[in-house]
Amino acid sequence: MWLTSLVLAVVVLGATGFAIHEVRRQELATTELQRIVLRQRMWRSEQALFLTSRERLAGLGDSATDTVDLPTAITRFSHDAIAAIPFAVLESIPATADTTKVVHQIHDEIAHSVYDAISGTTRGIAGLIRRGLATPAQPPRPGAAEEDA
Amino acid sequence: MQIAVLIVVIVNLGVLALLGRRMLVLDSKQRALRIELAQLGPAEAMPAPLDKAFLAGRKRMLTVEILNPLELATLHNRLAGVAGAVAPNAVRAVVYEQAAKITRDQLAKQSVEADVQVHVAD
Repeated sequence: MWLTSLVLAVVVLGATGFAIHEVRRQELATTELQRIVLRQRMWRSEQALFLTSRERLAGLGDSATDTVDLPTAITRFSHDAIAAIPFAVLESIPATADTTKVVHQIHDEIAHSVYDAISGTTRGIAGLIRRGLATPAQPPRPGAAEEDA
Repeated sequence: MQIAVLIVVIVNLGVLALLGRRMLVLDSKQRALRIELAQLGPAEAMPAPLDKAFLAGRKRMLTVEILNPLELATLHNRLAGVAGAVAPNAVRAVVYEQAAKITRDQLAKQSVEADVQVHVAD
């Protein structure tokens, strides 16, 4: 009787050990599956965001001048967007928030004035080219051929 | 003696029941995740130039190496000092697991979807 109880206790202990091992294995498998699902979900979400942004950019330029100005606009938007990331992080930390806001403002003012200047120049050149193309060729001045000779 | 064995058997049966329940929960979670994965399907193929632009650049990862795990453990728990003297590796493992958990929680608060894992170097 005593021996039977002992054997039963050993069997139950063994079963518990095996069950603990199995639960641990299943927990690891669940965590791995969660990681795979998260990665897949985020990959698709990033891809969709990328495609939407590209479509929005593609729809920017309509008129001829807009098309000429488009590279500057894209560079400007990209610069703003990329620069905003570290600023946003630093602005969310109380210790660096105040200083960062001032630096961010100065950065934006300088960057925008530079881009405005580039944009203005590009538009000016585009206007000159357009006017040059629209103006009919001048008839030769009388006597010009004799002067040249 | 027989009473002691009986108590061991009863306690073990209780533990087994709890473990069985945990297995059922895990199984149902895994089934739900597999369904979600099947619904997500493979990522849609993009036109080649877009795909190239999207995948441009090298993969980046953020690594964190805790340089004072034993000190950290001692700061939070006095007994960890003793444990650190006997089994420093175990204390380091616990500190890294805790750090990973805190990082996960903090990143989630900042809307960062991150796969935070502890890598054990050779």
